[in-house]
Amino acid sequence: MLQEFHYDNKTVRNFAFVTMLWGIVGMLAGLWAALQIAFPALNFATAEITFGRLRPLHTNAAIFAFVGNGIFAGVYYSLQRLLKTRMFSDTLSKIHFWGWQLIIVAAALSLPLGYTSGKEYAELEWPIDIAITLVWVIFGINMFGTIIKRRERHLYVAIWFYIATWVTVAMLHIVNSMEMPVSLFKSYSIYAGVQDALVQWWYGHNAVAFFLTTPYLGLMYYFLPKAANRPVYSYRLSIIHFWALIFIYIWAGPHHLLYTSLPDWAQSLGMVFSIMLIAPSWGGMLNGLLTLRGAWDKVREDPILKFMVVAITAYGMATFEGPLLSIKSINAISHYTDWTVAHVHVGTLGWNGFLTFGILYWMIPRIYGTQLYSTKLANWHFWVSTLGIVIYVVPMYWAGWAQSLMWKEFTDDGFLKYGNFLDTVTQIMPMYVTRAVGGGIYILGVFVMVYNLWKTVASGKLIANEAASAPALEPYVKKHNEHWHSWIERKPIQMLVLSLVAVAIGGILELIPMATIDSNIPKIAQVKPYTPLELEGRDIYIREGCYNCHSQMIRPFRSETERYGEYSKSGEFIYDHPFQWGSKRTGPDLHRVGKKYPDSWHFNHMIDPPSISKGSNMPPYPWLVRDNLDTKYTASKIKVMRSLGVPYEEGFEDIAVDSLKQQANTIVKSLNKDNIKVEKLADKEIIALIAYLQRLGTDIKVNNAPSLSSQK
Amino acid sequence: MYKFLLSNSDYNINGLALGALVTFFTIFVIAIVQIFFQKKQHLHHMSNLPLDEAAKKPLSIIAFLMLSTMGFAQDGVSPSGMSEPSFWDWCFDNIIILLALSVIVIAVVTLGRLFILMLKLNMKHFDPNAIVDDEPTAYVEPVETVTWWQKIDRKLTNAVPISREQDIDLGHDYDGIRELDNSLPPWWLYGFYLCILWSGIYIWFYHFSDYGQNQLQEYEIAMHEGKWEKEEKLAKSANLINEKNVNLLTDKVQIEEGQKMFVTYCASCHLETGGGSVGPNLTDEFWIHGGGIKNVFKTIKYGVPEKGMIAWKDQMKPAEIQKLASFILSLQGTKPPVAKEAQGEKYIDSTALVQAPAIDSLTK
Repeated sequence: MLQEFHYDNKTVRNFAFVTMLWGIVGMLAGLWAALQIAFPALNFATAEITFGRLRPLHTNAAIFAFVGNGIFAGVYYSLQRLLKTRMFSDTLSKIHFWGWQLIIVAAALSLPLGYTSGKEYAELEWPIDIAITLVWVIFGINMFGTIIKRRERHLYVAIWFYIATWVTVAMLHIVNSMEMPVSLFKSYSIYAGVQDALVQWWYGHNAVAFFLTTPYLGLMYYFLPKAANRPVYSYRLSIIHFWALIFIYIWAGPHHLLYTSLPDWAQSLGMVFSIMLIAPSWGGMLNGLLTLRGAWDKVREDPILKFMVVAITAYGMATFEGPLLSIKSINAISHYTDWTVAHVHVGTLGWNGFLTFGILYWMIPRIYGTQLYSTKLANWHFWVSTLGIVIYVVPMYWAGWAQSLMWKEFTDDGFLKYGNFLDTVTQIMPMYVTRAVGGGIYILGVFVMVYNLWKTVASGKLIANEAASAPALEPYVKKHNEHWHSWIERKPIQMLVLSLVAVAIGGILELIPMATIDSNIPKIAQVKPYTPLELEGRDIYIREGCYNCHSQMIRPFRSETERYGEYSKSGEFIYDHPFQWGSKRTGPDLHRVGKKYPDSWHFNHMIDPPSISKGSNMPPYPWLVRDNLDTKYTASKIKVMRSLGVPYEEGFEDIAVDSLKQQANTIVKSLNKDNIKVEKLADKEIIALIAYLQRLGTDIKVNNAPSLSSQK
Repeated sequence: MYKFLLSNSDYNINGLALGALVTFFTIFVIAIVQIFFQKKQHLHHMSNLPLDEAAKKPLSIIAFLMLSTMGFAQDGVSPSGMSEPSFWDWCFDNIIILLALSVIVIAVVTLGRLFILMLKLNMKHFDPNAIVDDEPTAYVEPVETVTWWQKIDRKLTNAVPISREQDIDLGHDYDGIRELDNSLPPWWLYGFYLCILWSGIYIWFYHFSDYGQNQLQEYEIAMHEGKWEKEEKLAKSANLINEKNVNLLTDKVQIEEGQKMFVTYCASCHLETGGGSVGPNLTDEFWIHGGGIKNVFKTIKYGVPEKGMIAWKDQMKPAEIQKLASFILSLQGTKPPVAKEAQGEKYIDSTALVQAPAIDSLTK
């Protein structure tokens, strides 16, 4: 007995359209940021669009707006069809759609305005974090509601991936976004230093795993066999690689912190689980590519399959390269360089981008009951964007290798060959230009796609409610010796719970010991909390996104300690809420910059970096001298910090602003001595930033040089 | 190799990079064009070509060589757990040798096969049956034989051929998507086991055995070696110059070298003219830490950290500091248009004396 029902294509259409819209916005932001590195004039000396604020906008837009909406479009399309039912609730679909777009708009406004929690890929402030949680829960209810009213007994592999994605992203987002609000727009991470770093990269790495990978594998399992009209190669492989992938992936986060002051045991875990991850990751690639057995003749003609093949290949390359980069000795070279940037973009431009394009080309003509406007243009898009990827990543690989080797090169006399960090930056400048060209070409292809799909849409009419029919779900007849996996495939809640267990184990075993066992972070008696002025300066450092280009983590390598000073110790960061170790050195490490230069050096350098460091590509920060420091929240900041365990004395908040002013005056005096005179200088933001920079890494700074003070 | 690239400053490394990029890109595009624009018949034709054994052997040798280099890569990783790029050194330094070696091996193997082929052809003349048959024989399709390579390949992939696909169709139908029951590719599965095994060994090696060094032990070793290297070189070279014996240079070339360093390292605080901004004016006769070559040398070498002057001894060799200090002293009395007011005390040139008293009091 067939039941009649309708698929909701309108929500799919909406998500598909905003995928394109935000895709272009996010990619243009990326292109702009890329150009800023090569041509710092493009920062226009304007706070809102300076690199440190624009780059988070690019990453957030690309990940959560472009890929995020891509996931939802694909999930809403495939879920209904795989379960033979309409989405659970049209209202929830609507709330989900508009809620997510609202979050994106909030991000697009708040990030340029400098509201950031200072943690990479999780920059959004706490009210938006809460909104994300709510919308994610609504998505979950809608998805599970649909699953529950399904007309298909067993869940297809794509849906396992959707379920694991949903539960893991929820866990990651909530744990990593634990923060204590100071005001509506400002909060501090409840974790500090090493712990914050571990939680952050447990999150950051698994944002790649469970936002950029697992949902897209789910989409691949639906759209690839549909587009190729071939059966999935191996059901067994699906099962093994699914469970192995989600169980192992979660452990790999610490590979972002190799050779840092993260304890050795955690680093080793991150490394070996990354190596073990090769096979489960490749399981997905193999099942995808082998599904195309017998359809390779189609691949030569069909642009959709071409996009998918390159996407899966890029996935395979990135998931092989990732474990290699997790090997400590290779990471010693790659970390902080553009090698990482190249690696990430193979994944995002290749895997996420191309799979999204393939899906859009496949899906949109179908929901509009028409044919793709031009296969030729789609082919053109394919070639142009492939070219774009190559021209993007190859210079970045080269830049990464060249710069890293320059950082590490010693002369025969035992001196750093490139003692001046800038020499290693100017060397790779042409690579930055080439990279921007590659990115530009890629975006050109995306514009072609938008035009092509626009024409396609114009030639058809949206089938908002697509008629379908399927037999009603018969009551389950118990089978003898049913395989356990067949059992769990018809038990969505058990599937959810088991997925959660699989992903929780790695997280718990890494995070809990780090938080509870004191020996992991040896205390250092000299390390003291920041003064109120330094704390305010630190918040400016976070606001301006300095961590996007500067690390604060000197690794124990001779080449780094010669260049920057004593290597960083975990005990130095215990009051850092949030940590600011950074992940990329477009500029030098700053952990021991404190007291290295006079205050006036920093003053001049922040206003016009090239005047101090000839050829520097650091943007200018003139507004720091123009704007007054806002001390409205200084007292509450002290209180919040104390509640997080920073040992400020009771009542210190009452005298915090006075102490701040006092310290500001001493800095102003030292600036005056060097002929820097600005009206009401003591009130300006730059004074706080200088105070923070001069404090960095000085608590344990060893001073071996003989004092010259007695010299006349 | 990278050392060559970097140290040969005549070579523009980015020119090379662009060259590499263009080459890589061309190969990539040709490969993709080959794949996607290949004529169907052509492909068909190619797959029907009898693959000659001789063509396959070298391939497997290359594969073997690549595997063996990967083995070395592992070597570089685990035992020494190096912190500096000695692994890359090794790769770069030896890749040419490896490539050359593989080419030689391939050449030898191919020549050997050619020789055997010629031998066989020659033998034909002595084959009585062959002599009788003078007419050219029609080409006979070779009987399909399963080579060792194909056998291994089949064993490693263990895929059911497409023609027998219906045997393993599980009968699933998810919106028209069917699923096959191919077994896990054995190469993949054993690769997985190998990774797990390797991980266990790694953890044992670095955390439970006495062999592995942690990152701080590695660091100590690297520092020890570096220190030794530096001290030994310093002792040997003309770098015996120190603040006690340094002399003012007057050679124009050496002063110019000093000027170059000044522009790179010092101008940010003292301006290119030496007039001073963040740092003091270096063109007048007033000095905070003493004028004259010995004092200036010492100030550059050890810095004045509490006042923001960096100690340069780890970045400049003594001979370089000498050149730099000599250049700075050549600025005396130049009176640049932008100049900071005088700071410190007027320094009375006492080069006539063996040692400035100021230094004397310091070095005690």
